[in-house]
Amino acid sequence: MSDPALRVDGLVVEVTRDHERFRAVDGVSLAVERGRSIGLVGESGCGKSLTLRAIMGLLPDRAAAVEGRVTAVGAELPLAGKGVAAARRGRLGMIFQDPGTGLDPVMTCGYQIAEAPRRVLGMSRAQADERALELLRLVGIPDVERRMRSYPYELSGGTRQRVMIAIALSSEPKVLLCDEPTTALDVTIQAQILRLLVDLQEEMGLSIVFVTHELALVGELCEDVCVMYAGRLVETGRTADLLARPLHPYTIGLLRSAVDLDAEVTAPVPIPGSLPDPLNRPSGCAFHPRCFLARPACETADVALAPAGPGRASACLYVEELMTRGLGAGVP
Amino acid sequence: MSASPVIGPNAGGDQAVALEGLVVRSHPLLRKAAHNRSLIAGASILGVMILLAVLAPWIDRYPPLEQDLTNILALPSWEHWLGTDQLGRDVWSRLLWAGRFDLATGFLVVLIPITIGTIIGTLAGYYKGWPDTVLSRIIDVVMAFPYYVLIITLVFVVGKGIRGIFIAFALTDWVTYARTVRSSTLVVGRLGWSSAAKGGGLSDPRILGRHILPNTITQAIVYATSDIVYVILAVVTLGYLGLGIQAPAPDWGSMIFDGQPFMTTRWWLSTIPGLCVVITGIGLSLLGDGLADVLRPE
Repeated sequence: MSDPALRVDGLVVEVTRDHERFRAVDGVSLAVERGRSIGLVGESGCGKSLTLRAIMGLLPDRAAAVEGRVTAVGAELPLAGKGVAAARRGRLGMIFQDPGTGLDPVMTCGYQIAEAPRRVLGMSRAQADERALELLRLVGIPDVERRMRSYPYELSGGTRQRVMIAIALSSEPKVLLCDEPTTALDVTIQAQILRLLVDLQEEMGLSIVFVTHELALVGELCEDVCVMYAGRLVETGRTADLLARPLHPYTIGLLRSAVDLDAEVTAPVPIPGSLPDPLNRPSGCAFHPRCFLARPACETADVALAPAGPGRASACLYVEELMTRGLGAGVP
Repeated sequence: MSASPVIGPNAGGDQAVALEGLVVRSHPLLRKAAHNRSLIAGASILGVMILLAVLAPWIDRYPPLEQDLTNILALPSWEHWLGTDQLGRDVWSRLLWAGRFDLATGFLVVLIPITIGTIIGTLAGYYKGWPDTVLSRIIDVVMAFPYYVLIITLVFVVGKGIRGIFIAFALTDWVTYARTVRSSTLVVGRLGWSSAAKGGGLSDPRILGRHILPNTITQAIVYATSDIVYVILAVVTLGYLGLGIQAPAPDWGSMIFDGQPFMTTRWWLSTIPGLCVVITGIGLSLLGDGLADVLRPE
């Protein structure tokens, strides 16, 4: 197996809230092969976005990556400090959730796309503009000459998201980190943006880390998936395999709570309760207060991600039961 | 309406479209400005005041300092449009020159605090950390003092006149700009495009200068329009108290003060300079309101 495009080992992100520190991301490890994509799934607040921002070196003020290694395209990237942006240049690019605030309102789209090629890659103005036109065409925007001179407020949400992708691609990254890029968009536009990401992945050999709270989207885009709960990975595997045969009660819960238009009995079943307060983390398996399979051992046992068949890993104590009884099989 | 034939159903409309086209082709901000009534009204009022001040050397009728002790407190006449003051100086000419001094002082005095405040506020809001904490406490302390008391005290200490005014405002007035710009830098710095700019590998000076500042400076500019009113009022007040622009140079404040003893018989000596202050204030306020609308990011 060749060197992965992006590799994260034992990433820990600490967050300070009300003068107390807690681990919002606790020992996350993942790897993305060149030209492949991985989905990072979980409820809001489970640490997916922090993981992504830590990889990109763009953590908010109250958060800090305290442990872990990030390597991308053959180089280890510093998690904090002066060289953070420089080390990621040409390796990582990121697109953000909200197309409404993702673009600088006072600069034209063309300026924003051409900026990195000009200032970071050292192209001339003409070259950079040419590159910006190319990128706009690449992300499927019609009438590119006019769009170059457009201000962000003149664009629709979907077009803005495309421009943001163009900006992220303008510094020629090998790995694209996507932080819920479709959540704020209409369903029809969502599908277009996903299609675009798949195309980019194939055409440019781009690797993608795709953060979302919708498992269904991961099925459309990613070969691999990591399910995250309360700061830890609880299950990983090949997407098709994992969706067909989930091996963690949380994944099963996520699948059951999604609306499935193909299934005959369509009522979604919510996961009872809500994410634990990170300052008051349940003992043992953090998911046990909400788990349909919880037994007394879950409250004390130290759970960790463990191999569960070829290409699979799960952090459930009773993973074998799930495998043999096929509890998760056939969940809508 | 005349009965002349209308060329096509949309003749008037076409003209509007053509006009619109002229504006539309320009920058979107100009397009918005052209439709903003309070901006246009404020700019017009202020424009007239500035024009009168600038043209003072050509449209005055007498040198503003020229005394004619044989003709004091004259009533308005063709020779002296607004009469003469207690030293026989032409009031119309003095009014123009006073506007020149007061407006110039107001605009120039604001330049220093807006520059200092914007730079400090931007750096504090972007880099945060302990310098930001220290700075915010300093701002709180300065703001805790009553504005006028602070200015008057400082002018007393540094010395009367223009120099004192400049120093007093440079020392105190930057805090409002720093605070405004700091808080909008904090907000803007959290937005996706700031992160994108950082993630894209752009340098800090570039992010600050080309992205953060253009988004936050509007706040400072809008505040500056009302700040100029405060400064002019303060200059006039200081002039009234004898601490501002020094006699015999004309100034609306000292004119109000000098005219006061003659309020019952020559009411315009004090009232008209006062009106000038009020009109300038209204013009700047309207301009500020309009600018706030136009510059608000979409």
